[in-house]
Amino acid sequence: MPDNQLRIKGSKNGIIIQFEEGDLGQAIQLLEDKLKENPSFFVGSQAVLVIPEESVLDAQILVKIHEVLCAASISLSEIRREGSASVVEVIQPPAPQKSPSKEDNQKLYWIERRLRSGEKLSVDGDLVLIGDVNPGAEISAIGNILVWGCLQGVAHAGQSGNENARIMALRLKATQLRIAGFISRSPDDSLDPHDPEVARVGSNGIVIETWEKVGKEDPLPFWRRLLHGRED
Amino acid sequence: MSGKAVVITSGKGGVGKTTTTANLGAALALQGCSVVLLDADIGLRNLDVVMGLENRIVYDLINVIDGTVEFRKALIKDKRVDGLYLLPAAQTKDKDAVSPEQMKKLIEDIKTEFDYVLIDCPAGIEQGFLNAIIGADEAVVVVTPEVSSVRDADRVVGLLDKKGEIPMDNISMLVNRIRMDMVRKKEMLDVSDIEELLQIRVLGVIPDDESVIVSTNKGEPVVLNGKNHLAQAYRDAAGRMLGQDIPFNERNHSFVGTVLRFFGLAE
Repeated sequence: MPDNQLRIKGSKNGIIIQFEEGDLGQAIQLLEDKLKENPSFFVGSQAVLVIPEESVLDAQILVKIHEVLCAASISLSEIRREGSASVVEVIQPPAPQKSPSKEDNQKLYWIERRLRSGEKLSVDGDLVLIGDVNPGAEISAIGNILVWGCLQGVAHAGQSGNENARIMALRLKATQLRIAGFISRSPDDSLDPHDPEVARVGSNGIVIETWEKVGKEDPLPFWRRLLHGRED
Repeated sequence: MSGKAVVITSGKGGVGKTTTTANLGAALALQGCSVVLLDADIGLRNLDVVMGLENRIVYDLINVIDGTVEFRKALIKDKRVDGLYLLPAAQTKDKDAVSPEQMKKLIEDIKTEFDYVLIDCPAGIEQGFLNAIIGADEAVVVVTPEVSSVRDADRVVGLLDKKGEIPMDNISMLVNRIRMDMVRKKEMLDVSDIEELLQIRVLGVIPDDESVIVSTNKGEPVVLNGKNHLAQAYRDAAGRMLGQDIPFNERNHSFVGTVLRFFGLAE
């Protein structure tokens, strides 16, 4: 019976993990068990996660998915909703904050959609975008930007001048990144990033590091704040 | 009876919208559907030329819209295939001569009597584009394996969803002029690359072939030439439109490749 809650298929670009109807939490547990049975089988592969149309994605689940896949050395390239690729947009009310420091006290926009060429999305707070940003599309935020998908367009964080803002994406392939007044363009010979990366302002402009590295240095990385801020 | 209106669009010009409209329409008619090809490219009509029906035009789209004749009188029957008709665009007016409401009404009228209305959309995303998509239930986005074409297609898909209110599930793409030899050498985008970006269903994959140029100049859709391998690719695409489950042969290998593989000479 548990088998119809979870399916793992191979594809040309990696593996497809499909959660069927039912509780996402249970499905993740199943996935974790399955991956533990064959710990080395999927090492280094890319995964696309397909979730049922009606299911609710929240921060806890996202973090859990990331942890489970990381433990098996699988990198997540995309989360797809079953059925239509149609636009689902969820803007959450501002997350209640525990520590009202100036930087943290921002609205959080939690948006689930794919941005196509020519589309623009601008928010006056932090932005968590679940979906891809295609080339030719633009996203901007007063605060941080976290793209749970492939970022290929233009992203501008810290739009009103916050140099501490960060841009993070599962696959960071942006045409151009802007943080406050800094601009960086993609290198001409860019390789396809395999791991999630974070962009921030360093001493010589914008630097890009892997999520893992930043996570080790910063005990409370911004995405934790973003993701957890929501359930408090 | 209520048929389906399908707009053939692309954003970028010169990728093969008109040729696709002519061939998909003829292929649907060969399958027994009644089909009207509607040229929405007012001022720059050429679907009639591609169909070889130019010399039979008496009335055009504008005459129908302004009430001079009813649409049945303006339709030109294609003598080569049963059930295939053309409603030509006007050559003398421009795109502002028609309003979206008028276009929508006309398409509704035609749909009551025919199985399919294929709308040949002008290039661009201005008024002509909006007129062409307003009455459509489905869309086929023609894309060639070039970065600029894919970029425009992505933009158009976003607009179809928003302005045309065509649901994502009813938007598919037709990859035109693919060259498998270049794809294999990684010199050309592959269908899967385009699919990954656009995230819509693939209706058909049409190889690049010079016989299209010959047939276009002769005014005879290539799909009417039964032996041509492009004809099969168009027929397959039309079959998929009708909901048939047809595997993609042309997608992964050429005929020569298939033969070589059969003898174990290629992989």
